[in-house]
Amino acid sequence: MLTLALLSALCGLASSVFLRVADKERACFTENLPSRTRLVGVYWTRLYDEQGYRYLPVHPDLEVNVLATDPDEQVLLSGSGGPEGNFSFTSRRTGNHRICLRSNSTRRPLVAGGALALHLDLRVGDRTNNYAQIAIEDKLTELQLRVRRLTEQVYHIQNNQDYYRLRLKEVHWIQSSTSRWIFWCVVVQTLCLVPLVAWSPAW
Amino acid sequence: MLFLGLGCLLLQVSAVLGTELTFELADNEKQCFYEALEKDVKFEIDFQVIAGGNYDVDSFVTDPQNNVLYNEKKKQYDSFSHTTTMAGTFKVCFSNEFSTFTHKTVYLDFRHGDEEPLIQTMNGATALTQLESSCVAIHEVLKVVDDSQTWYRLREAHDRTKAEHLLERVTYWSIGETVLLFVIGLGQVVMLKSFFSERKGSVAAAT
Repeated sequence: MLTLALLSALCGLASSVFLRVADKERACFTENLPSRTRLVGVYWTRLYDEQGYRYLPVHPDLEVNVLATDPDEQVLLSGSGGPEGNFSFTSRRTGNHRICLRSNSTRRPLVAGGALALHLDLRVGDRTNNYAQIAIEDKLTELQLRVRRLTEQVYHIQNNQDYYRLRLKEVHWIQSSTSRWIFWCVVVQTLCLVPLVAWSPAW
Repeated sequence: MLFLGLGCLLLQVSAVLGTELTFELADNEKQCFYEALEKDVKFEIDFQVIAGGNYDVDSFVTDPQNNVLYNEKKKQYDSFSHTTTMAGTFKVCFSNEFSTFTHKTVYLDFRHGDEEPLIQTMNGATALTQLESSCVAIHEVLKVVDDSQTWYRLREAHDRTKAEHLLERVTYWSIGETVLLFVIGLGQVVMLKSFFSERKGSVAAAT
């Protein structure tokens, strides 16, 4: 039953932006995430036949490698899936997380004159919630589900506020470092110049 | 059980039909994104350059028949909205071909259609109670807050990148200039000293 709900959820996300990638070409994306934020990615592939200007289904042998790294270049997620799949991870640190997808058709090469259409949908925070599934699991009425969605939204906004406060502190530190450098540079230059000017006639 | 199972098939996830992606554009590179849309669908494209060079990028949008709907050069951020007049695949492209060595990081938000109901049973056929209406109103406001936060997060990333570059340049400049000043000052003093000591020597030789 849960599988059915998940399947229907995936079908519900059928509309999304896609890009054309060559075989074995990497498509990388960055997501700036606060800590403790969940990211869910759903992808599916089709083959684009440039001669016929149409989309064809892809062979099930096609592998898509997914690699997700955190701001410190530590691997958060590394795996391979079929032509369709999903992946998720929760960020441990605040910062730029990188998600790369790469198609690998080892067994059967792609049709000549064809590129892969890679559909990707990345969802962050409260948009990762499958409310249909939550309603079934927690046995919620419609009103309870609405309130639950509002709670999740507020939690996500609060998380973003904390993240923003942290980032602001970093920017303040950078700006004060810049002014400190300029200040001390001027002081040191003055300390170099004044003795040179004062004592050079004596030399 | 069967009813519940069938009911699940009808349930759809709440989908603000849209995709947000942040990608890197290398120098002399072009990246295109496609979306299949029906006729009479309103879509909105927001993009912002958050890192790299002069923070600008070329962009254009074409319809399924390759007619250009939007074409702007060297924009830092912009918003474009259009209602489709035909069904098909629409394309939005970003180009960094004018840049010789700077990579750009671009944020793209492609939204289309209306928000789907939370679950399919909430299709608006029945009137909402006051409590439900309040929930809907709060949800809409919170969506605006979320979008504002995304906007500010991007501006913050942009400003932070600029501040980091400034700090780096100021650090190197201040160290370099101090060292140069010291060397030149000392060099000048030594050179002047050598002129006078030569002169003293030649005067002594003359007398």
